Amino acid sequence: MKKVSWLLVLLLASIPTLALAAGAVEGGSKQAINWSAIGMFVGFVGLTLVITYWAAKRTASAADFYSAGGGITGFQNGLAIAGDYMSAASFLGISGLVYTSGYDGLIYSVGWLVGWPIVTFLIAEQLRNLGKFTFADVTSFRLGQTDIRILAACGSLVTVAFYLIAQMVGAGKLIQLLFGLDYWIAVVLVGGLMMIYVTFGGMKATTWVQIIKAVLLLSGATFMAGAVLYKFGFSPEALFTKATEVHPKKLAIMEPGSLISNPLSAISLGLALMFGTAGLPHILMRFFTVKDAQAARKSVFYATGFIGYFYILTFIIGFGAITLVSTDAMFLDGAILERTKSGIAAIKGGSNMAAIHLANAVGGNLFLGFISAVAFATILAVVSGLALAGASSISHDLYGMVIKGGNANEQDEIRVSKIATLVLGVLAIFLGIVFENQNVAFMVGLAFAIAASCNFPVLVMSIFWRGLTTRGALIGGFLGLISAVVGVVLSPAVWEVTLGFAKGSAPIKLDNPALFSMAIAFAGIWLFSTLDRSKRAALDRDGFDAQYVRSQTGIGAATATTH
Amino acid sequence: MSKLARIERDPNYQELVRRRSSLGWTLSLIMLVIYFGFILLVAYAPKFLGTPLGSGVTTIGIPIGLSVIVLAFVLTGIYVRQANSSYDVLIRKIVEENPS
Repeated sequence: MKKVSWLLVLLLASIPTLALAAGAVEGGSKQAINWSAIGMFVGFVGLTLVITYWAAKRTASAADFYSAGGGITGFQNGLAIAGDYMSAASFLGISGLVYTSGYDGLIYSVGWLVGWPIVTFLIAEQLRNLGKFTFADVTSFRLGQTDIRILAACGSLVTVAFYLIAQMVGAGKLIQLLFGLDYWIAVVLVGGLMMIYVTFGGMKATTWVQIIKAVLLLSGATFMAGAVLYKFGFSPEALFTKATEVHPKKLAIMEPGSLISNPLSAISLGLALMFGTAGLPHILMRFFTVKDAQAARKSVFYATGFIGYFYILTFIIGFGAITLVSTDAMFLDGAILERTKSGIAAIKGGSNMAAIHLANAVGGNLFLGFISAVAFATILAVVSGLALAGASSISHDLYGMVIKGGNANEQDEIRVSKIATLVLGVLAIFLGIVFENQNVAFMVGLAFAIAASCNFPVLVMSIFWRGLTTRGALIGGFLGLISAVVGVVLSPAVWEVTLGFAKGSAPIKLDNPALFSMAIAFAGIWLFSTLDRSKRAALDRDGFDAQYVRSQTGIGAATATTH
Repeated sequence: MSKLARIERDPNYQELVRRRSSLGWTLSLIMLVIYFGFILLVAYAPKFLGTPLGSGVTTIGIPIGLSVIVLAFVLTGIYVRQANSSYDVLIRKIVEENPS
């Protein structure tokens, strides 16, 4: 019962914080206080805390904590995966990109979706059959446990860290705008709630928070896109015609623009988006929450459908914002409008706010409150999933398998995981505040590049290539990781924009390094595995047959726990 | 004969592996071709994607982009349908015929 009182205290404590913070900024230059948004948000937080309480009572074993006891159905998991993927960054970012550049937004949406079929065809079932809690269970199935777990933990933690920082900074800015809260209060609130969900409720709470948010986000976006189409008599042609009339770029918004300037850069970004998806630890972890391989496969099918549908909606929402937001003085900053004469550039709060203002335009203040609350919920749910993936990597891979050699006491492992969540939460809050005024857009790209260049190559080679050895995976994986990080630092986005060197001086012209970092990783894995003549290498290759049979049939796979 | 060797010699297992790998890799290849075909169009032929459809402002790039999204979903559906209807049956047979 101790946990219950804890949760209640925290819930009650969070309400006056919101009200206080709201009061403190009244009259400032920030967005006016939106009480309907705050009300709906408090409602959402209350509901999720009840779920967390419910989940906490049912979370006893390590399997409960890491994988919700394997009791999530394929459809539920599909929603949860879609929820993990439909972050606030992709909802507000893509609709904002469509708002400023039109067609270019669609290019990103397509890139973000096409990784899913690959996950279905090559990874989902094998992952479920071979693993238990983290994707390192799969890569280390027949390879040397210690080395491979350390590699996987590095790949996971670096990916999670960059993704988490980007989400935290985005969250802080967004909440500042939506609710009129101070930046640091917003970051602390997100970090604090995330720690509560994950430490008390583990995967079960994290999954249900994600499912609820996915349903809310999909319904909200459906309503918005529907309202936009309704205004144009359900004729996309009429919508596009009006958009090309009011947008300063005119007809150019209907074709690829300046976003993709150089073909190699486009291919490199495409690779990172496509294969990065298949290497994101918080997504891969979701395949262990379902009963078996069949449910895993179904869940990606549902997820692909939801995500694809959602991206089509964001495209309509972006165009809707061009026609309804950029033409309405209510959503525009008068001074910028005066200077630039462009409604697109003058949008209050920047292009990321396009979807939020559109909510107001089509549904009034109440719907604005709903969408704002959903955007906040989205951030909470996504950072919780990330924190759980990072914490599992520390407790299951590093503590349980490397330090304790696989003999860790289950309760100790869970305790380590909770401590790791708290540490990650505090770190995320700290870094979120440190990076407040930095351009962190590149960090999501970096997370995808590392996932595509370190996690994905090792995972796919371990599943399909008999010749893979521990040494090959270790050297190739770290080469991929290092070349991805170096490639991002030397790219124009970081070298010129963030570090401030002269324009055109970036040593590498690609905005995303995946093209060469993936090649380096695969070549490294192949070369050092092939040359490997050690005793360990012989064991690694001999273990392939048993692994392959299990990956195909699921015989011997971890089963769901029942309650 | 060990259980592992027995399963590997089971014709059902061999059929499962053959069918699943050929479909999985074929569909992956199709997805890669579709997606990188689209990216190459974006990079090398942006004006083609900007060709208006008929007399309106909607360009050919819109249905092309949307159909990549829809095809990704359809391909996933094809795989899942195949797997549900035939791979699971084979797996059940393999499990039944090779008790531990």
